[in-house]
Amino acid sequence: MTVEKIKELMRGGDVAAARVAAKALAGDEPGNIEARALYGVCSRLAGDDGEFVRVDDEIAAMPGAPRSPVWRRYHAMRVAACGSMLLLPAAADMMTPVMKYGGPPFVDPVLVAPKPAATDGKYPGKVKITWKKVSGAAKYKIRRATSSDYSKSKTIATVTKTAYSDKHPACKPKKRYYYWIVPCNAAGRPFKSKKRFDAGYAKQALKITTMGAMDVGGSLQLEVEGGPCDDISPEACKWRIVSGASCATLSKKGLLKARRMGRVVVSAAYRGAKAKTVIEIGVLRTLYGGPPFVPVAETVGIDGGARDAAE
Amino acid sequence: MSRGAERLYGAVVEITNRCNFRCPHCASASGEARADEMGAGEMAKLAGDLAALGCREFTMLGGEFLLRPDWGEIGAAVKAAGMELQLITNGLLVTPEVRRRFKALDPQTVCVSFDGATRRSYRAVRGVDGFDRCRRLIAGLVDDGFRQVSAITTFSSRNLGDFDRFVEMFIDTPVVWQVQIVHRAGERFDDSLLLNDAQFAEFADRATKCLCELHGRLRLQVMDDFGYFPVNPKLAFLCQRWDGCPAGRRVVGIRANGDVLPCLSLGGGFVEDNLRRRPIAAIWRDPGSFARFRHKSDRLTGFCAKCPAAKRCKAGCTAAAISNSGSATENRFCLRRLETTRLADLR
Repeated sequence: MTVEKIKELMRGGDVAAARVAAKALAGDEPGNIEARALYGVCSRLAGDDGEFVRVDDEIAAMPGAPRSPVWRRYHAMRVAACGSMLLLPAAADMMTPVMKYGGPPFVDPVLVAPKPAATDGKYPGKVKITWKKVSGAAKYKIRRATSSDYSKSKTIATVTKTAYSDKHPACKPKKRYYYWIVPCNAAGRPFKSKKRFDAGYAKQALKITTMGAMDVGGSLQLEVEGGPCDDISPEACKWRIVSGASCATLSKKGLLKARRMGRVVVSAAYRGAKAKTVIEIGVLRTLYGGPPFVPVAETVGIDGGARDAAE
Repeated sequence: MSRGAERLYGAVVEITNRCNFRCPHCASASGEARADEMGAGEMAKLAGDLAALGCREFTMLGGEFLLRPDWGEIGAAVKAAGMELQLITNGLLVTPEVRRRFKALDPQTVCVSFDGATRRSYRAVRGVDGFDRCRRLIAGLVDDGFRQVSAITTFSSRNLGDFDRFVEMFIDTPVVWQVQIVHRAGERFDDSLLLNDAQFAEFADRATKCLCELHGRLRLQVMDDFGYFPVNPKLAFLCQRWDGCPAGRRVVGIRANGDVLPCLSLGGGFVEDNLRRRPIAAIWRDPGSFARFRHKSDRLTGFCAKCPAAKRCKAGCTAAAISNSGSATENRFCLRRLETTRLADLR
């Protein structure tokens, strides 16, 4: 018996005979992946799902398996919870119809959701969540809550990769969040899955918010912000000029005084979080290249007074 | 009940064979009224007899049933007998007054035959310019608040290309889109209308895709001539309640002249008896009636005989099987068969 003869039996509808023949051929030729795959497929067609799954596992462990088209399609059936995706263009799309007619809906397979790993204070202003790929899932929804109660969680993103960074400002530093990963099909519809979570938090995020330019001879109070620490006062930070110290001086309270044209790199630190910024010192109107600055009140008065005066 | 007879669930009753259309795929070859059509009294008695047999659904059709002036009386008799009423019309004679009369009958479903998704294809299939009128009618029936409004499309080689246009037309609407495949029956039938294997596969792929991906948005209802134990678990619902063709087992077809058939889709060669010779109860309970349909599983042939689902499937819809393979005992248009063949053809 050859693979072609087995296929001929299938085309004629004799699945039982094809199954027996495929089993015999797979026994005679242990390396014949196609014969083995046909045996699994015929088992499924004959209603023996247990054998179908067992054979699929067996083939998956064989080195040449990915090169067999029969097995690839067959495996797609397995991924789709022992079904055939033959009539669908995309094997990954596993949307389930809820029938208004003709009977109860098909029940979705329950996949094992991956256990996420969320970082604990590793990154400033973000928590990085990673997880292992789930066979059959095309997308993942990331849900977040402030407690371990899944019912209170909300979807914060849907991604196709197996990593996601939950960033400031949605993710507030030093606040503990709980994350769940929900595997979904290509259309974004979630599979039923067991709920597994991990908690994580972000390190303090710090940012210098002051505009990066000033006039020679001027002074500038540097400001910072950092998630929940919006009220960090500049006095609480440690300020330092990293480079360009000859152009300006910097007080402990973050007051920068410009002495001559140049570029200053300033850093701030607050409880382990650091931030850096560049400040250009020059003549503002030259720096921006526009027309000379004229105060607004002299151009158009609120009541049109300036125009009246000009006339 | 006598051996072989199950409880009658539904009757499909042609109250006249008169029709304003001459569609080539019509199984009854409707056009002229039959010579000896039953009167309103006989129809009312039939309704009572069917209800006494336990029948729950009475489908009233033609021809075009609106060409019979007493259709309202017959509908009222059906309701009085306690059955659900389903109306199937081609839609061209439905006026606002007719819609009001429909409403008074409170039908379970109003179905409009709708075989073309463009003016041109509608005309190619039905022979008249009824596209706009039917489309407006379907929308009007929805506005009228009928319990269910269905558009029935019979796919043939002439309108298969319209599938996606139909989907666009009915998606996100409350209209139930009922699809079926053309069968060879009726004297006018033109064989060029039949789907070939490749066209059936295309139809199956499109219908499957809609069933799997558009549920909740497209109310697609596939008829008994589609399905049969597919391996795809998403389509398992297609066979969950299927235990063989219901023709002559739970469903009966009755022509306007009293001829009793297992199903009106089968055409004139399958007339079992006539109501003027024996009442419906006697015909239904007779163990010898519909023998070819009630004991079909013993005689399956070809692919169907060897299929693991043969005992429950019994070669699917008999009218479809006869049309596509020439025999009631083998059905070429079957999803499982298509899946199995595709698996075998993988390279």
